[in-house]
Amino acid sequence: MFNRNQWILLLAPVAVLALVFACGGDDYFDEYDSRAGGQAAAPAGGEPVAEMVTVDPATAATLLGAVTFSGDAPRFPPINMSAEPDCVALHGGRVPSDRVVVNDGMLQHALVWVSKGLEGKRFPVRDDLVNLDQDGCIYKPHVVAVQMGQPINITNSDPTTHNVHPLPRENREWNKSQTSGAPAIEYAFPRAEMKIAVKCNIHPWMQAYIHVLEHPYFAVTDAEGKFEISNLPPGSYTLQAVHEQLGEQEMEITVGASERQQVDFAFTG
Amino acid sequence: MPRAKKVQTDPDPITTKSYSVHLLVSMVLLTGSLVWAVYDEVEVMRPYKEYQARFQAYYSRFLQELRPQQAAKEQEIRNSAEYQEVSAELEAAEQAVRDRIAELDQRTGQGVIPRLTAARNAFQVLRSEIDALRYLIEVSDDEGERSDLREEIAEIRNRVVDVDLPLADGSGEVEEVAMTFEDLEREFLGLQEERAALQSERVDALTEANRLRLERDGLMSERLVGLGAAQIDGLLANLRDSPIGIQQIHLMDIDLVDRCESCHLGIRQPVEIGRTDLLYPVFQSHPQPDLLAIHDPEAFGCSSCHNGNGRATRSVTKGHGRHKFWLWPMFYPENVEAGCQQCHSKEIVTPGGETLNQGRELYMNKGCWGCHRFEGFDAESEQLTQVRQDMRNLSSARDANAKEMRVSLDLGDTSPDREASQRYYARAEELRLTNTRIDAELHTLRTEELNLAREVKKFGPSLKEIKLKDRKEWIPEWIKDPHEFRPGSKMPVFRLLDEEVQQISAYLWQNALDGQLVQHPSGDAERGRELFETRGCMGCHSIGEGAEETGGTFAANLSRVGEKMNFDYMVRWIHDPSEVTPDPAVPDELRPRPIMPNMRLTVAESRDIATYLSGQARDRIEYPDASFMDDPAMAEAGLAAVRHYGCAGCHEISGLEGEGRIGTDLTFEGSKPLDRLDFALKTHEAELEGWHSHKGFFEHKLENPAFFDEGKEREHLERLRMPNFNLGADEINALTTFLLGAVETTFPEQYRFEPEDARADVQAGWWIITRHNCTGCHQIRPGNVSSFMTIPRYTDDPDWAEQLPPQLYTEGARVQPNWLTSFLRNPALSDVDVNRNGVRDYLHARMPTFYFSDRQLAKLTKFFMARDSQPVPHMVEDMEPLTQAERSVGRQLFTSDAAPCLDCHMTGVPSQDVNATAPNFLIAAERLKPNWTYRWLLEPASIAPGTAMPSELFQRDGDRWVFAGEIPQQARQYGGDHADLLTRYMFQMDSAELRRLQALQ
Repeated sequence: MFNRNQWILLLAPVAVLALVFACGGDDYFDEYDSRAGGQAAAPAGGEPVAEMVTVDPATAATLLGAVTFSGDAPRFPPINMSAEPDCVALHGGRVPSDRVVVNDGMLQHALVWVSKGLEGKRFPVRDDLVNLDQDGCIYKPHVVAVQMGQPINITNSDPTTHNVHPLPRENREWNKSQTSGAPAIEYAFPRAEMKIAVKCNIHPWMQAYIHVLEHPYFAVTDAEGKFEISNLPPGSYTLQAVHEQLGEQEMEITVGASERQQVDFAFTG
Repeated sequence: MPRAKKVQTDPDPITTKSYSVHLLVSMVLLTGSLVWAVYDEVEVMRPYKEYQARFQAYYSRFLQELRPQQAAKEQEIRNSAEYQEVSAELEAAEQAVRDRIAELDQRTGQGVIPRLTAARNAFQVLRSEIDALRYLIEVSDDEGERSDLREEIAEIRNRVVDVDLPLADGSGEVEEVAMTFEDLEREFLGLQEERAALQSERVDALTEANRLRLERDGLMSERLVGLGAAQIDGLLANLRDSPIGIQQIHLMDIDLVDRCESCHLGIRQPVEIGRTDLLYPVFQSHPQPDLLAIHDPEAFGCSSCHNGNGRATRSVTKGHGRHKFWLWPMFYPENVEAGCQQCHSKEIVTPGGETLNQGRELYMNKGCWGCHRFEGFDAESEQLTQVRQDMRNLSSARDANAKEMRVSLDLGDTSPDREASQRYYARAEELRLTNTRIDAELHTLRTEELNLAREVKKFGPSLKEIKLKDRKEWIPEWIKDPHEFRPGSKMPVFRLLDEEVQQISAYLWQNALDGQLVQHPSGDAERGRELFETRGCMGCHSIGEGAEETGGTFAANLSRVGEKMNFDYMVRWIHDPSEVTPDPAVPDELRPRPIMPNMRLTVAESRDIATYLSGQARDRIEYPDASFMDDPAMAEAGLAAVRHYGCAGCHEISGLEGEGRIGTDLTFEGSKPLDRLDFALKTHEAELEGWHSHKGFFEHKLENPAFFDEGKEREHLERLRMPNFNLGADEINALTTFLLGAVETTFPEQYRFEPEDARADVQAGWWIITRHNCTGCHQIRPGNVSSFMTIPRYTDDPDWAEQLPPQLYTEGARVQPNWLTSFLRNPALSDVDVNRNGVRDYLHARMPTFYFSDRQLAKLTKFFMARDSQPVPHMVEDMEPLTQAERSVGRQLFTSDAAPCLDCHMTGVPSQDVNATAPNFLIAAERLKPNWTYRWLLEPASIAPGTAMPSELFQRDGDRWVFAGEIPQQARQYGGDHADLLTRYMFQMDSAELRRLQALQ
């Protein structure tokens, strides 16, 4: 019926129209989908939530050991409390500095903690009571460690007013007055942070450090330099010893099921 | 011969020729066009339909998912003890009045209202009759007719009508009462009053319940974060009902039509919609709703801030104006704050516009304005020119007046006519008085001139003293490549030929002033280091190279200063930066003062610091011989080069005091037509790569100022002169943002932020603060990080953290303006004992003495007051004097264990003040404002986060604050507010009282 030219004549406008239809409109959504690799179709969830770990007590390991110190310890002058007679009266005489305490070669107030190997895991918050007392116008103990969310119980056993002033970088800063015999201040730091200095502005020689850790595997050495970390799931970890004046030391360890492993750190002057 | 054969007829086109194909084609074309036209109109031209359909779908889903969470939160709040308690109280309160309310409602609804309605109907019938007659009286001309009408009214008033009135007891019974108009009126008004009485009784009865309901709802709105379930349901219902169509903002006065929200549907939703919460970023809500709250889109539109083509709805590219036919494409996210500049062009700090602020600050503190004028920057020099012009004009007016006065006096003396002579005398008198006024005005202008002359400063150091200051051989090395010697220096790298370097050096050297310096012995470098690190030098200066660098970046890095600077000059400069070698070309009172302030150091301290800094040098670096600098021919050739490169734009140079800027004015650079930005040989490349735009030009130019010279065949002196500042990527972006916003605004005044009230004081203050780097030491806005806060000593050691200079967030509310002015003028607060801080003597860092003019002092004082909404002038609050008893209680509180005030605050006793960490009470009365002091006592952390002053010193006891902890005997009987008493005690303290306190302690 139609010859070739007539067919062309007939189809050309149809083709043109078809082309117009095909190109028409805004293709934001298609473009975005192809750019985002179909991401839009399935929106990404939030950050992966760390898995809550239940430790099997049957296989849990224990780390125990001591932190030693040899050589000349940095010397700090004895504490001068003369600005506050109330404080002087609480001590018989000279009050040695609490910045570095070494007893017979054993280092007190060192934090030992698992610094690597527990990433992406959550553990229940420890429920042991951590106390920080103001006693004799010094903080006792000089170093405390807590898990984040674990409350610290801050008390004032002195006959004078103190103010408790932590100076964190990650957590919120606060500064509260605590009179003699006032109720304890209970505070749980919500974010992990090492070496939060605590000051009393009224008695500037007073200083304590609080370590807030993500997990419960830490300990602070006692007067004999000893520490114990228990209920640790078997595995390979990096263990770190931290002293705010003497620095840090690290050690790679591997503990098997139910193992009691001895780990010692040695600081030198 | 057959006839038929003979008649050769043409074929009949009607029967033989078919046009069906043509018609078919045309028909197809026509139908096709019609379909296409309809399709285009309905679909292609309206892509927002798909956006709206998708938005409805996604947003409903989003809200439906959100609803249970919010409902759960609401439920949680409802279950809370406090809410339950209030709810129970509310219920009890409602229960208690329920019967009463029911009774009142019954009396109103069934008793009063039916009777009132019936009475009103009857009353209105009569009253309208009367009103109609009254109207007829008013329009009537005939006295007789009027009196007839009046009689008629009287008749109506006296007419007795039977009215059916329901009984007021609500029984539903109806009584028939015969009443006159007056009776009816009385009845009607009486019933109205009764209804009002019942209603007010009802309101009274419900007062308690309503208060509790408000309290309960308040609890909910206070605790619930986000929307409630009912609000979400409302949104969902709106969403279902919302028709599909163009969403448009039309602002008549600026002829702005923005249809952006036809696709960006989530922008103003009350729920925060994250980037991909509705799958596609197009639907996210505005990321800064607080900005929208002060710039309501209904009043400002969208494209007024963001640029782009607000009318276009055809495609993303067209709407955003990102094609070459649209002159003002939408700003990219990294430059979005450029939009602020066009209306906030009078500011150097716009809260919230941090990239823009960075750009402006860079423009100021990289010295861009040395070559490129930009309105507002270096405004002082323009004002100075204006003041001098005004003074010249006034002086000539004065001279003209004086001349006319002499003439008038002569005429008065000689005129034969008495009246005329008196007129001349009067004129002369008037002129004399005018000149007296002019004298006063001239004096004011002269003061202004002196002020401004003090303020006008070139960006770089004066080069008039380089002979005394710098090592000769170092100068050409420095000019050649300043960044080689001092990376990041504000002195940029020019593209100079070696001979130009030599000529410029020679010119500067030979034109420098000769003078004498006092010779100093060296000091103690270690003490100098300690002073340098703690006195405040590092608020502006940094030291250490590369990763070791610490301190502020406002002033020079001094790591190698020992290689270049003369020791004796350095001592003088550190001791008193305003001390200069006399310059015959500039009278002393008009000499510009340096930006570097006076730290009020002793000569010995200055020597110590200079000794320490002189040791800051790399191991012996030999500089090549520079004897060419003494060659007069070299210097002569140097003048042209110094002029060509515009050295005098940033430096004082002898003989070039009046030299102008060599760069283009950038005030409206962002609205310069694109074709006037010279892309040179890069035009094609820019178009291909998609940066043929203002943004692309600025970025490339700033990254490499020689870029647009590439490939050009040019003589050396024809090349682009702009030097390289080696800016970082973020700096380039900030400056680009600033320049993109630097447009000649088309918006009328009401759109621009050019306040004339106290907010203008805030704007003006920021200019001085930025120019003098107050934020190097102080935090003035939340989020400020001062240079001090980055120095390791202050970040790592808790004792040093307390040594940070004070925060000034609410300085205006804290201090009295007159005191602040005198403190800023002399922070030692003493004319003799200057080597100290006037307020915080315990700080190692020292508030320096800046060379502020009186004008600047006034502006800074007004800035702090305006920011805290403090009235100027300040009216001192009346303070109730302490009674003897109160003084005694105050004394007891002050020395009690619960208030360890004197443990930290200075007392003036040097042995105690060693350990002090807070100011002396003796200056409180003249320095502080009592209401601020009261608030400070109660909650210091809200005023200065991180302060050593502890919180919770007081506790609430009924409607007053009392000391927490053991309260001394006498104070226990005191019934007033302890914080208020202490404030008054503090403000009325004198040195005798303070001594007495110390004795008690």
